[in-house]
Amino acid sequence: MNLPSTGNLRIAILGDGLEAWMSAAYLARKARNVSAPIVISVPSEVETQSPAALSTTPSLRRFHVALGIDERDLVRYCRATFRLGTRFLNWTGAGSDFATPFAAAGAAVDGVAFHHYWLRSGQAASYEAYALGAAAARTHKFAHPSNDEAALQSSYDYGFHLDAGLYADYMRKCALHYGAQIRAAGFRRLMLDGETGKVVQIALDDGASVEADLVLDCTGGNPAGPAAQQGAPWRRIPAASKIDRIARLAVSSSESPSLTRMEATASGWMSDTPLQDTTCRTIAFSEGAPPTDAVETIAVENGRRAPWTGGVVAIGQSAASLDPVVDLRLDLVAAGLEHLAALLPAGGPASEATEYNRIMENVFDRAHDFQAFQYWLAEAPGGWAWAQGAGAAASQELQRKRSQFESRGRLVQYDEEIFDEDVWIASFLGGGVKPRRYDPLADNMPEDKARAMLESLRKAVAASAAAMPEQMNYLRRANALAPSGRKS
Amino acid sequence: MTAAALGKLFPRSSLKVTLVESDQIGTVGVGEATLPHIRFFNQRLGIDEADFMAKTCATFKLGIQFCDWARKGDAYIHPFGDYGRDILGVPFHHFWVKQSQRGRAGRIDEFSAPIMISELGRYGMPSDDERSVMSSFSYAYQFDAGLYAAYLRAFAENCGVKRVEGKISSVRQNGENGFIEEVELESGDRIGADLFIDCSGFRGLLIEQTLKAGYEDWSSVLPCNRAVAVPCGNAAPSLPYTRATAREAGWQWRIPLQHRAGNGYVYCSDFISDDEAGDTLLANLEAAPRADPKFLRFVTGKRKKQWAKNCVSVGLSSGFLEPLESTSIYLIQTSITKLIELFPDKSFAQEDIDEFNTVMDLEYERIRDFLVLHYCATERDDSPFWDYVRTMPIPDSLTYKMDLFKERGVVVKYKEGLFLHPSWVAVYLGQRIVPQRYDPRADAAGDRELDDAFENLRVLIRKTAEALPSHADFIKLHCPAQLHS
Repeated sequence: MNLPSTGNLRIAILGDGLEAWMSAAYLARKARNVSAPIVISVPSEVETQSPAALSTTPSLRRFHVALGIDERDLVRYCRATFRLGTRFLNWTGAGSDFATPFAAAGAAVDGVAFHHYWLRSGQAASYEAYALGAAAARTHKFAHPSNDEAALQSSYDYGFHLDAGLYADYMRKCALHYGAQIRAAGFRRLMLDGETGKVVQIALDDGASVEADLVLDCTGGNPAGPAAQQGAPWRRIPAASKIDRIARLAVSSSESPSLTRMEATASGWMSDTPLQDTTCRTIAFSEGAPPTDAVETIAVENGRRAPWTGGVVAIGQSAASLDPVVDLRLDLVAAGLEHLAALLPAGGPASEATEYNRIMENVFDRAHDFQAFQYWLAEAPGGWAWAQGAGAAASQELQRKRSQFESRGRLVQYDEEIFDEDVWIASFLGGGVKPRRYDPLADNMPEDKARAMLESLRKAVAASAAAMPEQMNYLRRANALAPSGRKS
Repeated sequence: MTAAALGKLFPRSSLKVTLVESDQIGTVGVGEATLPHIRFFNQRLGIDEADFMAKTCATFKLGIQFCDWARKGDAYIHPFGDYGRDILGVPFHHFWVKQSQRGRAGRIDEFSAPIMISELGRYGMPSDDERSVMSSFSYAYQFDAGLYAAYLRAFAENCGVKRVEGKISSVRQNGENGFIEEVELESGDRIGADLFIDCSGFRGLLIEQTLKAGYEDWSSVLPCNRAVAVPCGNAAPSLPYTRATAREAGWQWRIPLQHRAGNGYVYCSDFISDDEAGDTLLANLEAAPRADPKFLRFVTGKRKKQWAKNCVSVGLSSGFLEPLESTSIYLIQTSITKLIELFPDKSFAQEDIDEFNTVMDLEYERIRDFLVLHYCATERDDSPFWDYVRTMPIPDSLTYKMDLFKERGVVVKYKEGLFLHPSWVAVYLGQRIVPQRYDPRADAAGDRELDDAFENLRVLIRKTAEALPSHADFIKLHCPAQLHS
């Protein structure tokens, strides 16, 4: 039987951006004794287009735990802030303002989700008023959630805002620490075994070559990259909206460091990602809208390819370039690596590739749905011109999700969702999509009791948020502030 | 079950439930073995476990034993629990495959607490302490379905459900939209309602005979279409598991209760006559029969629409999957749960009806694949029935899953679907589908280290199981049967 023995799976990673270093760190750590990956460091096409700051969901913490990363060390190094959610300004029409935190408002009671009680009791306050994550985010606050599951202080969750260049650098250090090797040379081409078609060597531009069983393409959607050479064509996919180009710049902002801020305008949208000492702004323009300043813009192109083709696995932006409206870059890289680690080639007829592609197609489809949903919210009555048509273009899965929520507040979740039920429900209700009915079982609680429960939760949320420290003070006290002057 | 759940969970002011039932119509009572999900149903209704077990002569159930399936002489238990533990995020069975390729694994059963407890005929409640091997499993019940029905009937009536005795003689529909408006009983009484729930069994009095919802026939992959059932005495103290023994033209169940054992032979009439099947069953009882054998007919498959207009089918009226994996009562429970989740108002929104049907279709299809696995993954060629099921075309969705496991030990994961990772592992391995290769990360552990870890776990589980009381003694203490109370 042809079994791999310890240490003989040879993995080569092409690229030198975020994707490459995250891949090298993760595989060096999680597939240790299987392989010490070699990073072939070539200038990445994508890196120049990247924002200087990235937003992540809480799922990235699982990735960090797998790498054994000290979170405070990471935050300090990457000039990072803790992210409790997103604030949307003017998103569903001028004057609208809602936040979507990473965790639920109140808890379920007697098997009935909290939002049904809120719907039933006449929505005395906004839905986010019952979510500590939202209240804290809006008031610049942050503290780590409590471990006591019964405490209100355990009811929120957090991701990060990170400096992209510093994060890549951090991952590079991590990769080297776990034994990844670097080979500094340009990629020329893959050399395949004539009989099996499998990759055997990678030819480099310095005339040398590297042997590999598995090649990770971390070069972005590079048309001459290894995935393309293995015959995985890049296919354009229709945009989720009329947004066709973006610009990036650094600004100073007095907005809370605990949230990503989205603002809709007539010509498109703006998103602000706060770091410790600066805020990175992305401005998105719709077709035909003239740029307001003389900023340099980058075209938005959505595309995908089958992630795993013949011994080459495309990671992150090499596999899928999605809309910029929700930054999922790091989360999608982490998902791609977590699924890859569970399906490393075992020397058989490569059934791993089929299963990996099935899973990752779901991951990208669901990510696309969540982005399309943001535009669908912006489209609704009297909404923005650049979002028109988003609902009609939504996938069947997204249409079913919305139709079920509108009917009676029931949330349909699919395999490989990036965002959990709490975020979806907060997005629907914050975005003004109200169910026509609530769960009739909510009527088991007497009306006055339900009102009292809601009111006491709202007060407790406000009091708890008020008692939390401002995030910048919290970072300072935790010695998690970056020394001034270090920039990526 | 439906009346009890609706009566208990909905506020009485908003919902009035009437149960129409006739003592003249017999019940089938094949679904006496359950899955752990039933506990959540009972808990949600606030049913006291010891009281319910005593009144339904129930026993505990840790899994299902399959005898003679892949080969004559084989036996394996599909347990309600895990094999070993994940090591560094890699599922345990990959390490077991590695160890068996090195000739050092032994049976994977030895790494499952519920299997070892079952084999010794013992029982203990699972623990909440994650460090204990007693936290690695769940449990269900084996009970008398007739007594459970009676228990729930009383429970439902206590919750304000009105019970009407009588047989339905006719059904009146709305002339315009075809909705059911009322049913008329033989007594001449009429009962009108907004929503009708059809629990009439195979014949589907409302969903099929009235609304013609249609039936999807799955007998090409699940060919069994008859069953003969008979109770008998317990020859030995009751065991904490159900047994399914493969026979010439189907399989025989044995469900041990406190006071008797339920038995039946599920077969395909193309391959054996009713008389032969009845004789086979009677020849394979452990004790004298306590009643005459009862014969049943069915077609495996499901209603094309389990919810049509203002009628929802629950139980056998919604479809039939043979009780090989004890899914009958689970499917009833799922229909009820989904009905409550999607409970209509008088406008009967079509998107809720469609959603119910979509969700139930998926549930049925995923169980179907799991059942078919027991038949198609066999080496038996000793009868025309086994020749058929061994070679029949099977759903692509199942071929895909089987190939992945065979080549690489990968279990395909879905969010929806009843049977989870350990169940698939149990049945794949039990049906002799052994992965050719394992996860390369399993090589991270050294050989010596792995040998020691395996030996330690094997000893720990055996000692834990040996320290438990017998299943019969546990029941005597916890919930002895109270008949005729």
